[in-house]
Amino acid sequence: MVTILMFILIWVLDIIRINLHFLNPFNESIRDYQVTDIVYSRLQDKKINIDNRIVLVNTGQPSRDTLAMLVRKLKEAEAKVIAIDIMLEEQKNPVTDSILRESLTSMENVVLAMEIDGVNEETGHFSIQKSCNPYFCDYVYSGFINFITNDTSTVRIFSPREMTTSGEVLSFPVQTARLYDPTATDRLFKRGNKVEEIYYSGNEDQFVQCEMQDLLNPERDIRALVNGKIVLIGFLPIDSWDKPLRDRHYTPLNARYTGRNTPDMYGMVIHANIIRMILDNKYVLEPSWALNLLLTFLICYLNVHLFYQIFRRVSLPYHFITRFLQLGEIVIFFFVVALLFHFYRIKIDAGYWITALLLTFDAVKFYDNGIKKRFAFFQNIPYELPKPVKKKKETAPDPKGPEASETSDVSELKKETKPDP
Amino acid sequence: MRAILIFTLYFCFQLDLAAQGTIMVLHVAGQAQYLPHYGAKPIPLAPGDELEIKGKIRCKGSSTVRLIYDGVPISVSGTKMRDLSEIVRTASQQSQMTFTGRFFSFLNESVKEGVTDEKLKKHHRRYMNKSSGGIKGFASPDVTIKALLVATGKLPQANVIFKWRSIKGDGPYVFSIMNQNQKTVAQLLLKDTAVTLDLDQLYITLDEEYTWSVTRGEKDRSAQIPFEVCPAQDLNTEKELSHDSGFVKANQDEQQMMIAYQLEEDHSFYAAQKIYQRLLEKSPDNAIYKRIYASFLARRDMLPEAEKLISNKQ
Repeated sequence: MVTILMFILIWVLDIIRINLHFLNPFNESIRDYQVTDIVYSRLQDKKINIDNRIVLVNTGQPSRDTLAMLVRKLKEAEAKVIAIDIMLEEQKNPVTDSILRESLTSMENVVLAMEIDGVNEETGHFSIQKSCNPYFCDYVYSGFINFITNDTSTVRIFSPREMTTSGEVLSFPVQTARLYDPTATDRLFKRGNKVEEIYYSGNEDQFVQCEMQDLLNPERDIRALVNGKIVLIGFLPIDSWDKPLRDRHYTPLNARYTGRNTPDMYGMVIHANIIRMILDNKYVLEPSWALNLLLTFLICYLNVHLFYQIFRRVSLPYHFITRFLQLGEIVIFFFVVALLFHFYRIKIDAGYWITALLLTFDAVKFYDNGIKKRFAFFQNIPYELPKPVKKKKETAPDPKGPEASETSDVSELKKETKPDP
Repeated sequence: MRAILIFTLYFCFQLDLAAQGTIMVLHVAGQAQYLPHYGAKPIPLAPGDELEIKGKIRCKGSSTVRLIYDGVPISVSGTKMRDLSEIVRTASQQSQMTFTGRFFSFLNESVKEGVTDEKLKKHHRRYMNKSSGGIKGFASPDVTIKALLVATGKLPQANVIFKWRSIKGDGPYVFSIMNQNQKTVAQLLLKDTAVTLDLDQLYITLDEEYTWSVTRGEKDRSAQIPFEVCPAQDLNTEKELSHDSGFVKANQDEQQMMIAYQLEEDHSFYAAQKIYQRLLEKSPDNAIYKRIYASFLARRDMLPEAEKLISNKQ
């Protein structure tokens, strides 16, 4: 009964949304926080599992003829996929542009970055494909680079594909992964999710990072470095002394997971993480709504049972014991959530568990002192489930009645817990 | 018994193989060199290169290299020649906690008392070293004796002149040469601001890095200038350039200029200066030689000497 009462309370708390302006600074700092952020930023193993399939190339802000030279060199070195995370928005010098287009089209697997915009709320279709001039985009593959986020929040999810008025378009990392390993993207599509949670395997240190000059050096043979690999080309000035903020985003890996901080990851590294996730088939698993409800009910019921037992047996230090239990359980919940995410990528929302835990204390007291005493109906509901009948040894009937036998049980319990002198 | 012995030997062999791992270069910012073994020709490092653990590595100037060994990322910087085995050992010593260990460490950190506003106001001076507004650079150095940066990088074995600028004050200049472990190899008390040393006579190992510095009294000191003894650098450079068609076609003076330029690129500043000086002795009024030499001196932070050289001409 108490469990049901608590579920009603949780439901009421969940539907009532109060905008408390005076708490805004606090809200702002924690609203974009999830428990798994601590797993990413503080509990991850410092050992890196390097990905030898992806190479990152920092171009800075390159000229188009340099980009053409780079693509040509990568083609000669037999890179499997070249993904250019640079928006070729306008046509500029006709000569340079034609050279670049020739370089791009000379290779089979080139992906260019573009953006989608103008969503129709009714159909969910996008009407505009922008930031990539048709002069280039019409001849090679393209993928949208839009992240799902507002101006300040963390990049946690991405959309694998979207519908536009001219047909289906894939996101930049998905298109890149598809050209590298089509079976991997088939697995992604079979999941059928409209959006996917990004599983960040690490920062840029898990990939080999080159400067464009390194690759264009005529004395250097880059075949061993890029042959058969995905080469992501874009803006990645990691060693720049001023660490420009352009194309830097917040991710769950940010060392400061609450409050004011600076964006921590360049867009190209986020794309690389998504590609790695798809190729490795390592997705974040979220339990279904029904399973979540079941788990919450179970935890709620067990807590009510435990707290009620404590309340019945030791009512005086009830407050003291239960507060410590609550604290201990919150730590255990956090540990379980972190452990499941770290080792199995299972993401559980423990918010309802904690709410249930915090309400149990008062709900038990309210039920026992308020509801049960006032309403006769509840007094007739047996709290404990009927126990299976056991064959007892034949003993002489207790002359004091059942109440006395209960007291004798408690005294026996006290005897048991009494320390041995 | 035999089976156990074979298994033990096999196991040890496996361990030994595992220990001989390779290191991968993740990223190079600037220029860095790798020496596979003692006396080998330095190889410029590039991302994706795999290095033997028995080799050595050195960064040029303020360059940095990011390496990865057995999943552990390692950052290397500084112009000192460093053993990769040493770098790896230091990095591996950093404790690798288990997940549970990291979890409880995090909990423990969370429990610690944070710095409250009240505490910050009360002991504000204690927290004034945490951050500052501004950037590094464009400030006068904290060293008072300025060493001339020609006797740095790769030096010849015989008769090397170490120079520094004079400062006001009493007492002798103490010139010291130290090894990588900061142990003194040589120390001299001097009146003058230069000393000529035959490095061949000192207990100095070739291709190992040493530093020289000058102090005067308790306060005045110079920076520690790194150097290594690499004999016949000019001959090696000339030999390498001889394969270049442009070098072969050039006249003798042009060839000397090309050698000097390449020597400077290879951090053999002392040998490069000797060539510039020889060219100027041969043609003291040659404006091109003067300007090129002046540029070299300016790059070595010897602007007064460079200005003097050009103003003499004009």
